[in-house]
Amino acid sequence: MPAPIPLISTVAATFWSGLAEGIIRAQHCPECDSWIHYPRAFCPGCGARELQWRDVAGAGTLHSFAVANVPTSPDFSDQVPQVLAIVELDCGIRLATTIVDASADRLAVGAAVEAVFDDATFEGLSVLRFRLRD
Amino acid sequence: MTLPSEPERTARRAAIVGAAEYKTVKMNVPDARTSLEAAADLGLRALDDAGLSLRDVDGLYCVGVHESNAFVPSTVCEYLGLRLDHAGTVDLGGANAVAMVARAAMAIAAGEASIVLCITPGWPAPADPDRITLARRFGASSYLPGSPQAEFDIPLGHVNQNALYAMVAQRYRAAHGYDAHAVARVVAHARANAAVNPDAIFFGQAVSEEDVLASRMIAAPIRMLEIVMPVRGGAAVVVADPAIAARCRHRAAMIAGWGERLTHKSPQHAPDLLHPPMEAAAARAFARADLRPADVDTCQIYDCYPINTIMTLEAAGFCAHGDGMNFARHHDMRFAGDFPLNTNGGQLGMGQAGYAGGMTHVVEAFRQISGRAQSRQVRDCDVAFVSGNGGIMSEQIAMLLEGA
Repeated sequence: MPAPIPLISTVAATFWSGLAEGIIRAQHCPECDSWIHYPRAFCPGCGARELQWRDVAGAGTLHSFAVANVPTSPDFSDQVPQVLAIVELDCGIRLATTIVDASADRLAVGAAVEAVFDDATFEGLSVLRFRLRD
Repeated sequence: MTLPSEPERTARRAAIVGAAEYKTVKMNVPDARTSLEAAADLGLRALDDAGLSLRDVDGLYCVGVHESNAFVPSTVCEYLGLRLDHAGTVDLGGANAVAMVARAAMAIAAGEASIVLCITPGWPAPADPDRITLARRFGASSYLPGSPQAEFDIPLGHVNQNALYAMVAQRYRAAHGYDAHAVARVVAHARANAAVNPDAIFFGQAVSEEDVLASRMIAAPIRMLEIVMPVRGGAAVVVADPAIAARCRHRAAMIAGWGERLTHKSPQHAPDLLHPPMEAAAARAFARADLRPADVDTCQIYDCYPINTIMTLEAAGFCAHGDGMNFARHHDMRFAGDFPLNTNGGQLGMGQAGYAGGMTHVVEAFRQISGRAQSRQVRDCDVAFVSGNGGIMSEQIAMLLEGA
């Protein structure tokens, strides 16, 4: 069964079009100098409406991870084990993602990771996954 | 004129006076009753336990009536033939049960109602194939357009609680170390308590630490026996004004204090996975009740996973931050032990009957305080700590109950 496709919202269109070009874009709030993800119409830090899109680097660390031996839903039954992760990019935003090509003994909180643009899973759409950095 | 302080306005202004709970059974045990019927039946049983009648009721909280997508309180009100001055439902996941009791207490303190039914029919969803499929695929997440989970979580597989709690546990391991034996001991003690509780699905079925550690790894470090089992059940309590409580059949459990805190839906947005909302919630509950952890005779903690039990013990101040596994290893958490915890088996021993899973902790706290916990009665039980937990430690509530 294929994974459910991301249901893209209008406010996040810039994020998704960036991924298709191999660029990670995140919102930045000039009012309170904070980074925002997922994209929103307001800054969750200060309520400001005027947010800027900025390109950010795909380097980050493993905030946490879990290797699911049992599929998290029937939609992922052909992807076991799923290596789920929360990655914190160096700019500070955290994303729900997966780790590709992971060897289980190298998975550790704090491990360095880098972005992988996956345009194979969903047609016409790239999603952000990560791999452990050497 | 001086306005009353916060504790004077809300603490000990309402009490739990009656309770009802079904014996939990496997999901596939057939039962033709609707969850609406179960809700009504549980309400009547809880009133009977209190020695009150249906016509006394003027308030209602109910959640988990699967036959209605909305208008749940008025549907239950109509079914029971009630005339209500205050009603509602709550949408805080596993925190619903305790949150309903807190809201009932607030309504009573404000003079909005005097006798409030709080009902969680822990009934499976009806045999609607679409709804069952949606529940299996998306669990507690929303796959509707515009939902952040539909855009950023579900497509990457971030759905279902097991792996997401495993991420909490992995972060705990990195910060504090991880004692798998201590975690297994929490399960073994819960199951020991359930083993003497005839209403528990695991009645007569104790497990050892070794059994837990030998069970299948689902999402490391979480093993099969550390995961609550979905069951069919149901529970309800009656919350009443203290003057009415004094006339009820059993010793009442005064609602001495509570506190709740919400911070996120999905765990990547938690301010700090290792400092859960329970810290603020429990601090407010203790302050409002003017009690300390040392005053507590029994804890009834929301135990969807033992890692949540351990982190709740830390966050509520029963032990230091990061010392929860050491605490679990060195205390006897069985009903006759030095730290009686989840004395009916908790959800690890009772199973999780939908939102009634959260209510089982309230019901057991009331039973212990009213001296009716049968063979698992904690001696001289006057103060109970109860917790609720929704999502991935997303929305948490603490409550202190004290014998009248």
